[in-house]
Amino acid sequence: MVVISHLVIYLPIPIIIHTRTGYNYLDAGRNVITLFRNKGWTSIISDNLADNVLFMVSMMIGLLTGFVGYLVASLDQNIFADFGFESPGGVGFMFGGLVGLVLSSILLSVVASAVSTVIVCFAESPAEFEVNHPQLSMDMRSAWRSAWPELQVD
Amino acid sequence: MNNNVPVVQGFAISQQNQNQMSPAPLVVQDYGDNGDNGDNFSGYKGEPQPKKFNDVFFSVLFFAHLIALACVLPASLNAQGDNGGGDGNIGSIVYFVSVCGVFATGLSTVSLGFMMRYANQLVKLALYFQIATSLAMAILMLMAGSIMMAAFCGLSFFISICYAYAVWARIPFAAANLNTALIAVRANLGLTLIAYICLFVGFAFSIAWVTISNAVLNTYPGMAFLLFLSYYWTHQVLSNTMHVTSAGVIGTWWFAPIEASSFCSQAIGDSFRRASTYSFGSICFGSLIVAIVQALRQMNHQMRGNDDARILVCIIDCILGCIEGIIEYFNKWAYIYVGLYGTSRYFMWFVAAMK
Repeated sequence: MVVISHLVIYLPIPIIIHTRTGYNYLDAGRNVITLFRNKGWTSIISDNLADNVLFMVSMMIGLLTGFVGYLVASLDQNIFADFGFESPGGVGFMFGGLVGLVLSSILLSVVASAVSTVIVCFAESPAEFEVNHPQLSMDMRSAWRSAWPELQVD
Repeated sequence: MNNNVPVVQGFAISQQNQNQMSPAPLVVQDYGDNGDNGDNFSGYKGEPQPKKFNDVFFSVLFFAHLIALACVLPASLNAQGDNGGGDGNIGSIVYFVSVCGVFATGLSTVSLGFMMRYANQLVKLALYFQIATSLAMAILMLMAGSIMMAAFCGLSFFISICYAYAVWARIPFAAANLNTALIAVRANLGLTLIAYICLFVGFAFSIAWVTISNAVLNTYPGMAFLLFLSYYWTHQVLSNTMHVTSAGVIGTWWFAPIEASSFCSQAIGDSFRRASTYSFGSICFGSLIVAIVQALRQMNHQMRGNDDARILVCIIDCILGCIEGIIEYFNKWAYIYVGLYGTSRYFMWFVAAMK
């Protein structure tokens, strides 16, 4: 379900991306088809795979913080005493997990923005990347080649 | 269109620097079937936009809405004053949240390094995680006796496997992509500080909003839609401001790393200033569109209690959910360009995209 909805959502994106630059809409459309063929799906899938990782890490951090919450609430039974819950440990786990999930997803949303920005920059300005960050550029280029060995990459 | 000088947030990279950039751009050559494309399309670059305030109307509207809420707040506080009290334990809650908060923030920061180290494995693990989650859901639903939901989860499980199979070859690229992003964020870790400030502001707003909406809905129940709109709009504006700021910082790191490689680098301040001034109107506009859909969805949820219209409510929710997803996705990429190339008229793109 998630994948299908993603596919539906992702389809019009490259066309949208290129309308921004003030190209004539039809020109943009044609150029976009080139971009779409060359990099479109890569970008989208790369973005999606990275988002999956960030989501998973965020869940893990939430879970671990939940355990910390459980410990804190079990050690000091008075924390949730006023709220009338039966098991302070359980409430501590839920509440701690929530705190962990929110805080980690805030930090990881910055990373998610960075992932998408890197995709756009890599598609638009690989030469500047090569000059400023040669090692990373080499890594990304070789990863590109390993994904499409049949396509020649300069 | 023939502008080849890379420009990030209004500053151009020097010509001398330009000459060194001889390595050929990464271009996939020849798909065999496209004879006529790319004749005068030089690269895929965006163009710098003149520094000016864009879509000002929407930022004015946004501030007017905040002022209106601020005017109602004192009266709402008075109305709520009588049912306060009973929360003498607030100190221990603050202690609890602080312990968990410090732990979660520390762990998140450490996890950045961990993800850099194991990017490749984590991308694979996340795919397995997706598959395992849908399988676990299917089994849970089957045990709960809900055949219909179990079938859906089973389908999702099957599609996840197909997806994993289809994208397996692209994992190294996704991992390299993630790694680059993580290095850029780690070089400008102060960015996360702004993100936490945004979170705090959002939290404070939510508390104020709850107080206001309780008081207002008691007297004017018809204001529900506007209140939901206000809630979603503010949160969207906060998260999009953060997104635009991040895009600006990462863009600067890409083109001029000297300006964006310390905890509180110059790029962070500059990007945030741009996002909250020149681009703020565009941010408010895009956020308003999403917020309208979200508020409509919320209103629709309120109707769930009505048994007669249950199917209709579901269908409307599904349609609104799709629209919300599309607009959010559009915003995500649009705001990267806003962050990268300074200001661009969001409205123009929107019209063009909707054609």
